[in-house]
Amino acid sequence: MLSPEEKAYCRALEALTRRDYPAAISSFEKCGERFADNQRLQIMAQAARIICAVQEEKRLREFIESNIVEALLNG
Amino acid sequence: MTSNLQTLDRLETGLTQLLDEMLDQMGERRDFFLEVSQLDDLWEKIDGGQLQAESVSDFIIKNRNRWSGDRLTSQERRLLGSYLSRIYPRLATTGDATSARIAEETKEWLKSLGQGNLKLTLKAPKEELPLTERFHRLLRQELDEMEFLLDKHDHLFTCLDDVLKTAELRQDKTYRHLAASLVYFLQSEGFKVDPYVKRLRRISSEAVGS
Repeated sequence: MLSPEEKAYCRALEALTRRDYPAAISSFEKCGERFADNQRLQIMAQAARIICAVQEEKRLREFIESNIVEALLNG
Repeated sequence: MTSNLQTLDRLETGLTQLLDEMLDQMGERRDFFLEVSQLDDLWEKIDGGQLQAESVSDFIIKNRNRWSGDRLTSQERRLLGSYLSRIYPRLATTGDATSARIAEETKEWLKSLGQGNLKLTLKAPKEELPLTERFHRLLRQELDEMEFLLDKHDHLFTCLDDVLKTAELRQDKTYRHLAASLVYFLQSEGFKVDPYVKRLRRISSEAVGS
C-alpha cells in the first residue's frame, strides 16, 4: 500500500501533470524526508517553487505597472 | 520594466518546459503511480464501506492489459497486488452477481501479476490476541490454503510454487511461513529444495526491506 509520503508524491505528479504548481508544492512538502535523496523529485519541486515565485513577481509588476499608467492618465 | 517581465516570462516558460519534459521522461512509471494513486483513493472508499464495484470494473478495463506482470518491476507488482488482493474479498463476499464477476476479473488480474492459485481468504482484522492464539490462527489459515491447493494440484512442489508466487506478490507473512514449512518438510523427506530456498530467502529479504 502507498505510504502517506508516497501518496503525496503521486499527488504532486498529478498536480504537475495539470500544471497546478501551488498544489504540487504543497504535496511535495508532504513527502518529507522520504524522497530526500531523489534528485529528480528535488529538481521538480524547486522548479515548481520558482515558477510560483515568478508568477507572483509578474503579478506584482503588472499591478504596479497598471497603477503607474492609471496615475499618468488620470493624475 | 517590460524587459524584466519578458525575462520572467522566459524563465517561467523554460521551467514549465523542463517540468513537462521530466514528466514525459518518467513515461510509464509516472502513469503507473498516477493509476495506483487512483486505486488508493478507490480503496479508501471501499475500506470505508462503499463498495465501488463499478469503479473497480472501470479501473480493471482501463489498466489490466497495460499493467500485467511482465511490464512491471517486482516492487510495482507487489504494490498493485496489495490493493487487488484487499479489494478481491470485499467484492467476492457481497453475494451479488455483478460484484462476483468483477471479483473474478480482479482475481484473474492478480494471477497475471504472478500470484499463485490461492484461496485469497479474507484478511483477519488486526487484533491483539495472545501469541498462542495467533499461532493457532496462522496454522488454521495455512491448513485452509493447503486444502484449497491440494484440490487443484497433485504435487507438493506445484503447491509450493503457487505459495511462493503469492508470497512474492503479497506482503503477508502467512505465505512466507507456509512456504518455509513446505520447504522444510520436503527437505526432511529427502527432496532437493535449494532453488526454492533461494526464492524464499529473496522474497523474505525483500519483505524485510520494503
